[in-house]
Amino acid sequence: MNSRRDNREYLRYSSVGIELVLFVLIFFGCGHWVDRKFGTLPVFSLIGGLIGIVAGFYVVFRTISSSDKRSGNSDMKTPK
Amino acid sequence: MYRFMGIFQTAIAASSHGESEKPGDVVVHHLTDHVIDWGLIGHINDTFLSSKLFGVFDMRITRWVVMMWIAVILCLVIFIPIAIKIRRAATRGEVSSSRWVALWEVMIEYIKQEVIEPNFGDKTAKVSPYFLTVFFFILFCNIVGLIPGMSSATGNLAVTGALATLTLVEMIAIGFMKHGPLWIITGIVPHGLPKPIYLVMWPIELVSLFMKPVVLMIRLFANMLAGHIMIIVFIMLIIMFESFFVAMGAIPGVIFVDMLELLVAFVQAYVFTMLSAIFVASCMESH
Amino acid sequence: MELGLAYLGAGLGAGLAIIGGGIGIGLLAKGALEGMARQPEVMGQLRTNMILAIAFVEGIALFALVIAILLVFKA
Repeated sequence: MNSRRDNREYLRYSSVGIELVLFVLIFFGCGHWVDRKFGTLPVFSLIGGLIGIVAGFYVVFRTISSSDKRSGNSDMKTPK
Repeated sequence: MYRFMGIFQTAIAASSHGESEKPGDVVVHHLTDHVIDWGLIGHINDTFLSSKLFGVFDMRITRWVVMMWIAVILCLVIFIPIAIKIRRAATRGEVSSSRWVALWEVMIEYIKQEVIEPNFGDKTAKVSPYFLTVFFFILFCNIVGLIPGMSSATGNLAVTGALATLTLVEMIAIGFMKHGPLWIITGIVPHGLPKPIYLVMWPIELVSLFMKPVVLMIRLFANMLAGHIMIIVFIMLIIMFESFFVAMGAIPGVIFVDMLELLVAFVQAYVFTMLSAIFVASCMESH
Repeated sequence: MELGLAYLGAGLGAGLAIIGGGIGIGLLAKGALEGMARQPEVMGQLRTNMILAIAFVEGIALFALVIAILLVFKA
């Protein structure tokens, strides 16, 4: 029963890798579209990409740390 | 089966006549959609459905549509008699003792216990029709795709996109019903944050909400498409090399990949249903 | 001659990048499983950190895959 719950935990967080990449792509795409409308070509695309990386890492981290809280352990950043 | 081999014979005959029907064309032919233009369905396609609905949607009956209808007919033909038998046994106060009913009941009970009940608890009876339908529909679509001569209806982005859109609509609708109509604006961001951070976090949370069904769609599509491409490419190797020794090596490979595809069909249907249940349940509780 | 090189580059690039991703995830899983075998009571924390690191490694491998797909569709 406990191993089943573990399998379900693995399954729930199996998509975080591709979510990270999709975040970067979506924000890069938004930046690219704004660039193509306003003509300033590399600037907004790069800013969009950077925001995508930051947002993607943030979402991944929050998803994983909610798993940590849910499995009953202490916070990941507890100093020892 | 005969149509499958007939297509390959056409390819070989065409290449020997000097026209180059490349192997890539045959592979692409098996993986893309084709409007049916023979028989009664071809006649319906030419007359009723030849104009686009609302000017945009092409509603002709294609090969994938027929595969999905076959899966739906399989679902109806299998499950309605089972439900009648179970109900008839339940009115007598006992469990149905037929082995066919027990076969499908194993799968239904497994889905209910593993997928629906840990996520929903006391509302299991109300939501389980939807998840069971999704599971068996995807399962039958995948399995019908393994029969030689038919193609898999979940191996394209449109069908899996429609299934993922159903999940998205359910997530938003359950949020509306549980938390009120402004749930999208206030409900998906964690509470207790100051206002400027709230404004930055909200697009990220909204994109994350929409991204979960997109990942479901990509996962199911990629798994089904990759399996079918491998099977077709293995067989095309024999056609391209035209040698006996390649066939001796490729046929066991194809059999192995076919067995693997059977496993992948079950696993992908299960994973889709499980993740749908997890997403819907996480939208049901307050963040 | 020059028409096929873009496809070749995309295929080779995606393949090599996925090799790196596979080795990385395998090493992570090896360390996590050894730790779980030595000390089963910290299994939850090990699993959490392993999934975090796997997400980053897989993200990098998928970046290379995205560039390979862009290459196929541009050429």
